[in-house]
Amino acid sequence: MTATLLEEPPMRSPAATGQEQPGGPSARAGAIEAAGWVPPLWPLQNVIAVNPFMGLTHLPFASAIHRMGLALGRAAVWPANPPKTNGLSESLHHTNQAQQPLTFAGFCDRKLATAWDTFIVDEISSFCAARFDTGLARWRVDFSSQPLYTAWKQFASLDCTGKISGFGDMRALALALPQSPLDCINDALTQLQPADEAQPLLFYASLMSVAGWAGWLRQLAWPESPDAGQHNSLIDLLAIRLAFDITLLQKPAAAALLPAWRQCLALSVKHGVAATRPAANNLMTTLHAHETAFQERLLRDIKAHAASAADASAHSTRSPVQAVFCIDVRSEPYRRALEAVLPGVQTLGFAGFFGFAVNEAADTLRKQYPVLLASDLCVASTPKQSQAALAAGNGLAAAWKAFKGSTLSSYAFIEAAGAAFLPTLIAHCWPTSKAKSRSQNTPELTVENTNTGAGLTLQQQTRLAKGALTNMGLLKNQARLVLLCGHGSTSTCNPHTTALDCGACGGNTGEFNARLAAMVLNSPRVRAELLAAGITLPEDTWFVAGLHNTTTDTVELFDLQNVPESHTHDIQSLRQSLQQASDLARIYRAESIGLKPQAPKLAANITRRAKDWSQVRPEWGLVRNAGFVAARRDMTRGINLAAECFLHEYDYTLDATGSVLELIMTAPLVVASWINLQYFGSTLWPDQLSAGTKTLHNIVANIGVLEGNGGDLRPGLPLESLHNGREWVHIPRRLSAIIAAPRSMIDAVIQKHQLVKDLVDNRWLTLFATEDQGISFYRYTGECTWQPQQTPDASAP
Amino acid sequence: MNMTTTDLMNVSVLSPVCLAPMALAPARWMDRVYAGQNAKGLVPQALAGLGLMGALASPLWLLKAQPGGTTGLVMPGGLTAIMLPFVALLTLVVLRYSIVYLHGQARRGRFIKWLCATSAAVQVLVITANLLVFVLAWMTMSLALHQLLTYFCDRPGAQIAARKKFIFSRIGDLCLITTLALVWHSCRTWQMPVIFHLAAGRPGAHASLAAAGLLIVIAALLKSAQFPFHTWLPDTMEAPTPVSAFMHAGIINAGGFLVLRMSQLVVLWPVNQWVLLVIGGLTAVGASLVMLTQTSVKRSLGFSTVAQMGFMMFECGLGAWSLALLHIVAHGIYKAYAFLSSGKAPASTTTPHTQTISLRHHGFALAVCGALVIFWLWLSRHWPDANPALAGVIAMGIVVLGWQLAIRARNALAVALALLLPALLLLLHCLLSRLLLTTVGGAADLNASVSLAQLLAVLALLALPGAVELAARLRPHSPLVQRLYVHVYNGFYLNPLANRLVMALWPVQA
Repeated sequence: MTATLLEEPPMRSPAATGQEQPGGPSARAGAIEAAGWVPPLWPLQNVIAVNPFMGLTHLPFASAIHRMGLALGRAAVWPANPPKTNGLSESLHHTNQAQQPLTFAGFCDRKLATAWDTFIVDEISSFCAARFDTGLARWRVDFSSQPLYTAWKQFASLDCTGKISGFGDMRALALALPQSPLDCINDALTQLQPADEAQPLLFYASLMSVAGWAGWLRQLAWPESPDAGQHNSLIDLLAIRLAFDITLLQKPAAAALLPAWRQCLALSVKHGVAATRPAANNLMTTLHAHETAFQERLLRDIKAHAASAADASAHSTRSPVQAVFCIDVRSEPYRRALEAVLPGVQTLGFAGFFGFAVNEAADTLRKQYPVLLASDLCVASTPKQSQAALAAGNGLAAAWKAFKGSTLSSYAFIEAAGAAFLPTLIAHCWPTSKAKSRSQNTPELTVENTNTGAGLTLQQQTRLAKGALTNMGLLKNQARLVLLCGHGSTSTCNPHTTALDCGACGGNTGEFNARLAAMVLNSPRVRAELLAAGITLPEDTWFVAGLHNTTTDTVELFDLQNVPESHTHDIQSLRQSLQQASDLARIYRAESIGLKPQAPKLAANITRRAKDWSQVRPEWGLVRNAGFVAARRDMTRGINLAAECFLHEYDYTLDATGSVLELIMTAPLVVASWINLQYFGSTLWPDQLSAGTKTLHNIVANIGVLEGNGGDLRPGLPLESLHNGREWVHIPRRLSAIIAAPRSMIDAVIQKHQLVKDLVDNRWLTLFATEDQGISFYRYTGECTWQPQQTPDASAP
Repeated sequence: MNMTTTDLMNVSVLSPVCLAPMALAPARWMDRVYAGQNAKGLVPQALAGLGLMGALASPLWLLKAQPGGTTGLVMPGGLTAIMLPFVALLTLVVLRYSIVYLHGQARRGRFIKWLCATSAAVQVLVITANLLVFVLAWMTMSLALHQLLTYFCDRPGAQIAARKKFIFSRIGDLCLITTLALVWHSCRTWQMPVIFHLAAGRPGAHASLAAAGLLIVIAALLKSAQFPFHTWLPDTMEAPTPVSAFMHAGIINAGGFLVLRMSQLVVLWPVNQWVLLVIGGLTAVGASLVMLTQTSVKRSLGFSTVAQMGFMMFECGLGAWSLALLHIVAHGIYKAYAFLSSGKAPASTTTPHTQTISLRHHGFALAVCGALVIFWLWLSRHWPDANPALAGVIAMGIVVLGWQLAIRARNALAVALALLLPALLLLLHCLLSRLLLTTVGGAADLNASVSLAQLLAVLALLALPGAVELAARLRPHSPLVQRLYVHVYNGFYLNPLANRLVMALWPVQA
């Protein structure tokens, strides 16, 4: 495969010896180590769920949570309910278990009732926005040719804000700072004199005080090469942050606090080793209770189902339609609805890029595959309009933008054209219920190899097709019609709209991959090659691409003009079934978005809602996700999983080598855990690890949001995606994964992949195995040991 | 009963009256009613809609009525007839937006209350014929807005911004209260038609009225976020988006409206207009420079508003009253849209549209621009109050548009658009001038007293940001450009300065 799986570079530094000079080699190692703990952050154009504890998974769960709490200056507590007077934001302040911030400025603020830490974060954020702006400001100074630290030194040497705000004269200081960021860090350490063993933690806390921009820097270097530590712009950021902290030492009141701060830092490190703070214990108890309740319910339901359908054999008869959906939890209710209206259908779950890790070469190169993968395959996608019409349209838009934005013309623009926005204003306020179709005017995909460098050779196509069929479990028994259904969302004026799209497609909508997969799998040449490789596809099997709109629960089919005449009737009846399934799925979901399930015009209302520019909760995304099931659908079919589970198709009897299981456990399982832990982090630390309230979002530098006026670039999910105003809709629960495979197969994968071993051994997720389709379960207890799981009797309530 | 036009004119009172029930309801009660998951907020929308009907109907009589009565509630004339429907429509749009936007928030009811209160105050301000009522509405508007700005009362940033505004607003209130006294001193009435009649009848005879004009100008500059009192405005992004929309589209215009309404007092003393001209011009230049560098959508829009308000004041200074009114309304509509849609996810960063631009294209563009300028100069001769400075400013904009269209779009549609816009602008302007004829104005004497050289200087000043933009593009690595950039990016440090002052006067607990 061209797509190669990137393992996390091991970020375990040798333990600090504590013998070296402050700022000696250990400072460098500590800085690189701390940089590895910072989670990356993707831009708004393709928001990707990232595990905020990504760099900490080598630690036991409880220690990592504790360390995160130390770095963020607030211990983790179970989210408080209901939110306080002030609506959403700040809702957790009152339950804040007071913990000392570890940055020097933060510590001083707590003691002196000042707000210098906020000031420092604002200044760094403001500089980074200027440095990384991708097209918002018309006047930008190009600092990008220099490393971050050098650029900042130059910027700070001109910036009078520090002096005017009473913080300290940063201009003189910036000029006096050493040329290299590491020297700057060493200088800071010499002045601050923290205990050596506390350095990595101090660095981590410093970076996490600007977690958003730190994440952005890490993302810029993604995918990381193993020697990422050598040219790490996070070290630049760390130097900048520490330079601000030591400026504060010029104030006698702050300088006097230095010994107390050192003591506090040393104490934090000591506690970090023990990791037994009452607050953390309290959290663990509640967390366990919720997870156990979920697991008991899930296992009981599966067991009950297995008992009642024990004789249901695998699909020996051929079903008329197979429908492959993304593993995303939102496809579960839709699959349930489709199975209800079309009992003959076989639905499957697979990562929404269908194994086609290919870049889409449109106006920009879109990476239509999970960020854990890397791929240089590329397929051109050209809009149907003529090049000339497109160029003319672009030209007109560019001219209009210049007229609007130029300082010479903005006054004339307002007077001549301002009033013309009235119809748009009114149309946005009272939207119609006419849905926008994605299947009309789709761009042309050029699959074949072209001389432009884009396109796939026949060998590449065959390899992709073979991989997809193998991993989807579609090597035999293919139906007459196979629907490959990606997903995407619709929302209006929503900065985080791509967070609701398909993560497996790199934070984009999934129609490109579905269409590409269907085209390749329908290609007679590919089928001939497959046949030569021993894979038979029945001649009458036709693949059709679809897109599940997760906001409105409609499914659109693509490229119907290519469907052979023999299949037009099948397509017709599939469309009908999909329409009925959509109606049913909307009824399932209506309550959660505040509509009455029985209301007439439910579909129209939901469409209108998706087009409403004031709607901050167009849909609930992957909220409440808690489970992952890799098994045949038979095991869960008919169970109401309440959109809480990722469902991956897996049949170990077809996987003699274990390669499919290896793929599932190293890619979809890891991604599901990333998503799960992102929700976890955003809910537990809403002020630091969530994007804050949408009502204050302010898009910055075209890449992210600020909450309000300033502060850091916000990582994580918006509060409105977690909380309905009265209560947390998301319940923090670590992922519970059920894999229908022999324990020995699972053990083999765990032993082979440190990343997976860390996740399961350190309790980032709970693993269950079943070899008998859900009749009995084993719970993974660490170090490749298992114990039988007692499940309550199926008849028990 | 025989209804007179004056009686029917009172239909304009319907709009603020419709908002009163929400505005006057107790905040806690409103919170309780609208905290529920199923509270749809249909009542406020229906009432605001009914008010809008009244506001849309009112121009029928407002434009017919004779000014002058001593007891009338409502100020007749074009200014009221344009501003009232505009404010009422904006209210409905923002109200509807907020009701959905804040769904689920515990303090949504309170927000609806204060939004209605603010809007009702603005509408009373627009329609009243009594100066005392006007000043009371002015102060109510500001105090109600304070509640909206501190909606997220736990956020220190929101508190600082609101307090900055609070302090400036109270200075403005003092100015207007003094104005009340001065007017009473010389006219013995607060009915505006009478005051204006007296002022117009004996120009020069009323030193106290002329001084009142200056106080009005100061109050207006403070209200409309003019340099150096603008720093609170870009900071108010700490309140929910619809507050920004309503403020930038509606309330910020109150300063301009004040000047328009009181124009007959403002023109009594040429200094007043010079103050408007200079402060407005400086604000426009400074703020549009800062806007160029801003990296966040809302702050960029904020500085754009400051610049546009500066330009509007500048127009008032030149006596181009109807153009200033056009600016208020058009800018309000555009800014409401811009703020409410500010969450639009950024498009993927496309590579800049590169076209090869040959000499022939440059020639074509020059020809188009030349033709446009000639067309515009010909058109502007038909301007109601032909003003060379403004014609020049607008010609600059038209040249930019023409140049861009000719270089980038190169088709018939583009040229048609380029021709259409100036013509449209003129049409709108003529329409507004006719409507305003009866109520606003006084002599725009300033034109006569300003020499061509001075006008060219003004034009050059307004073109300064464009020159800086060009210099920055041509010499991005020059140390001078970089130095200037850092200062401009920080808004000339006026914000940290103002924050420090406010924190000293009225500290906010972090």
